Amino acid sequence: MVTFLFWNTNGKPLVDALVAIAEQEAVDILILAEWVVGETALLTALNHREPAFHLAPGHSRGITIVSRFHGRYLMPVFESDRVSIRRVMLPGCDEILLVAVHFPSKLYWSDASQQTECTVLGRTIVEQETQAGHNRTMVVGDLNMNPFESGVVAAGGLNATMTQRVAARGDRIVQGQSYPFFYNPMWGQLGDQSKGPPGSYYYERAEHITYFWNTFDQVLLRPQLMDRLLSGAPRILDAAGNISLVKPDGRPDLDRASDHLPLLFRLDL
Amino acid sequence: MPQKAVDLWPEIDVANTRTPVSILKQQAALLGKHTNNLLEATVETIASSDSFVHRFIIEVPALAGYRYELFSIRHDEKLYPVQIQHGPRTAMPSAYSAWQDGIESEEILLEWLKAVLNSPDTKRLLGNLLAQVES
Repeated sequence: MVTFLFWNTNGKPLVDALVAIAEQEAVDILILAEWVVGETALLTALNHREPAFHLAPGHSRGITIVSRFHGRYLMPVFESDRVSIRRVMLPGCDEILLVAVHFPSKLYWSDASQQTECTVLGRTIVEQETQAGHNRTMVVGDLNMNPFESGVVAAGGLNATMTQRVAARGDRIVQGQSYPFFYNPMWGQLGDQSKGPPGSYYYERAEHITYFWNTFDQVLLRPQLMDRLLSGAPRILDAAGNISLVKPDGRPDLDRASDHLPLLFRLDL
Repeated sequence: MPQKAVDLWPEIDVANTRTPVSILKQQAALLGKHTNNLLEATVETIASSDSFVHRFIIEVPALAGYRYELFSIRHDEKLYPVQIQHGPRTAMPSAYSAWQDGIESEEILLEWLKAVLNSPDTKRLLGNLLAQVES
């Protein structure tokens, strides 16, 4: 079993919170967006009891990855300032492709740009799957889109669907072209019926369309990996050990933590 | 007696404009010269229903084919304006208000491209990749 944590830390030095989650949840691979404190401070804090964590070096400025496994087990194969694709070859496990993403905020990107980027990412993933010779692929990160938005759902985007039964078909054909599915378990994390917070990011404005809670932070799994998701669903965390990450009204506490809540999930690899 | 077909086509001239992709490809072809071909660059285009996305990708053959997408741009069939899809932070529209509405001409595209290729982020990336290759 491998435990993953993704967190957009919003440029905050949330070292104590990260250490608390890593220890409490026995996190194996931490994937961070907007981590600006530096890898040294992060590793020093995570390794305060024993030298367990290693940097998984890459060139993406937007993504930082540390792991209980040596960096050579998480080799980058394709990167940009907002994407890092790694071939994860853990000892005794099937290789997987880890696609870590941090797409720009809706403040800076139009819907058209977001959808275009999903198209480009979708094609890049297929290219890398072809290179790797398998499609045991997971996408994790801050997509800055909800699970129901066009870029995530569109066949020519990430083609991520809400149920395993549909995803298990493998792909779907549109206009004669085949598009492979992702399964998006985050659909089960929307609103009050989810076991944790109603989303991972809160945004409210006096305009006609506003969702209040958004689930921008997501994990998507190819059908070949979706059965490996343990405990049924990812969890959006609202606390890091004794540190609350939300205010009394349940919204992310921007003063003490990030505007995004962390995402935790476990895979049986 | 059959009537002679009437040709309604006008004289078709090739537009006297360098396309954004040709400008990118010229610069991509020059990277190898600066790095003894340890680093190479390529431009890949994705066409969608209403736009073309051109991705400028650094390739490192010695690192198991590692690829880094330095930036990407997008335009419709009119070629200009060119929208910056993503790129090094120091060369993004938020840093240059003149580019927020898109790059309107070949001249400005060249100016932007020079800023990207000479940005501290790009220099750091290329330096680090070369160091990795040579280590």
